[in-house]
Amino acid sequence: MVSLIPHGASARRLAAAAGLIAALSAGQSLAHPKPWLGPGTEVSADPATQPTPNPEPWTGPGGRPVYQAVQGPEVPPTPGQAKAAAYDQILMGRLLRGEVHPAVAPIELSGAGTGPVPEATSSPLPCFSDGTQGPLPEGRIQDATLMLMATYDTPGLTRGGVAAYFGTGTVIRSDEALNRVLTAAHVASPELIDSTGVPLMLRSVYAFDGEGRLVAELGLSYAHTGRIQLGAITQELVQEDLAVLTPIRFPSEEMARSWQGRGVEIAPRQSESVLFFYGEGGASLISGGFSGAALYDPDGQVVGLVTETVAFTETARPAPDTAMPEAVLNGDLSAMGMRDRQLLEMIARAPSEGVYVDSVAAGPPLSSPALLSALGIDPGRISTIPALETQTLYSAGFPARECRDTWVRHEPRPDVPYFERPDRHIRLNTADPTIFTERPGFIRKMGTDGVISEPERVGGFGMEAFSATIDALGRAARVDVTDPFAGPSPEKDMEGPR
Amino acid sequence: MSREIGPLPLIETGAVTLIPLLTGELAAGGPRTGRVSRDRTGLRVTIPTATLLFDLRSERALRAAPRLLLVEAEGDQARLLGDLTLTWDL
Repeated sequence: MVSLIPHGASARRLAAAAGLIAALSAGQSLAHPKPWLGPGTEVSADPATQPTPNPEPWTGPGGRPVYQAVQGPEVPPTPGQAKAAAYDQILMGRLLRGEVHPAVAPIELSGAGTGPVPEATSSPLPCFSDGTQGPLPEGRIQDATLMLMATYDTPGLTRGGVAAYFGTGTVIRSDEALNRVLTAAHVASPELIDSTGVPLMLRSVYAFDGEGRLVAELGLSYAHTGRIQLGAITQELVQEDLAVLTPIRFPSEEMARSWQGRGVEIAPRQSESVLFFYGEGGASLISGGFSGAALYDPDGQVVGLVTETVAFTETARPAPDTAMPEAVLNGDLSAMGMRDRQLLEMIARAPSEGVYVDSVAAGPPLSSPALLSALGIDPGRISTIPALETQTLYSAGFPARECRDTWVRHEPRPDVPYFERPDRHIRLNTADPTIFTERPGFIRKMGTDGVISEPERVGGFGMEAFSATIDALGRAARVDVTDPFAGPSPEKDMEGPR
Repeated sequence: MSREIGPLPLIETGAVTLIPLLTGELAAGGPRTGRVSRDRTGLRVTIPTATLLFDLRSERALRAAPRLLLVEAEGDQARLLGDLTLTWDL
């Protein structure tokens, strides 16, 4: 049997060796008279045909083979080792099948802090496909899929300031209450550490739909308690990289009323093992921003989420542009804090930065009772199986702030178990969401049952005061002057979900 | 001057372990002896004219390899560059 040990090797090296690996795996002997290996140097996958090696090439004191002393008795792999082995084996399989091809001119991967933004070279695509590609009809997945913009205070920087990170969240239908948003903990977490070591403190989370409309401001209701290092795939993070968000503010009554109409269902049978998957033929776009996207089975039910990828970065290539950044700029953002809005507008001015990249990704299933409870789902109605049998999964998200949906190939790995880490999460209470109305100084509230209250006046905030506040906000460099939700929202052009 | 090559993958066939190099990275020659050292980033195998780099996770496979062959991989063929014997100073 031939096996590849790819640790740390570049995609170019692995691809260069792929043909050789395939030939050896097929039992082909690479021997004379082929021009490369000469007589006496035959290499074959069949040990019986091998030249006799030095019988004791690695001997230590007393003639004991060194490697035996080093290896010691066999011990079960840790979850991290099992996960690394799964990645290696899946990557090797992709190489053997010829699915991975190094780009002629490798490009830098884009995303938060990872390199320059490539120029957009083609016409924008529609956001998501036309709604017929996915497993559910009538755009239900598209309506449930939200781009999350999490803004963080960066107190460690000299200037101080705000940083924004983008990911994907999915509205999950609750059994009992307000629909909630599932995402990855490294997208929205009380504290993060960026790739340069700067600590980040969560400031706010905004959710946008596929047309760039601000849907809601969200608050964490199931949060990771640790400080997650961005860009680092730790050995165990995939086990606990989950978060749940609840709406705390809606920018308009339309968005509030549509909220309970959004959402997708959790599959009643969840995997007991970590999910591994990759784009068919290396043609999918799995890169930064897809984090937190839901994974759907062919029936359109959620079976997990995307939390980490191992990418062949040398195979990255620019992807066609989508209209998402422009849509964000055209939308009404008055419900965002001034500084957050300015940050979004600055980021969105950059060209779309999507890339295709060959990768293998992984994520947890949704079997944790604590997580299910936080989603408002009765854990008792969710059962588990060792591994999902389906070879096909579907996902929709916002890689590089572009809206994409894709089918992915699932490789069941029952040897990489998923285990709940309830000690790494905490439930947080969030206030009933406030709804920004068109009447100056009036708001509505949405109860935990999703019912919207009658408008109520708040704080004597009339149009004059509101206008003065907005004017002051526009001219002021300082932030957090006031709560912009306490005034009217000119949301006439907004529509509910499709 | 010693060139650094890698990190390198390994191909285990059972009886031999191949170290695939890109074309032109190393000249064909006779058996080589490499001295292995370890630093924070990985394993460094010093041979004449070059230093071969391996991920730390490759140590077990390198130690267990009954025979190491340096090869150039091209398509489905391999050109033998020579045997490699390691000495461990770890």
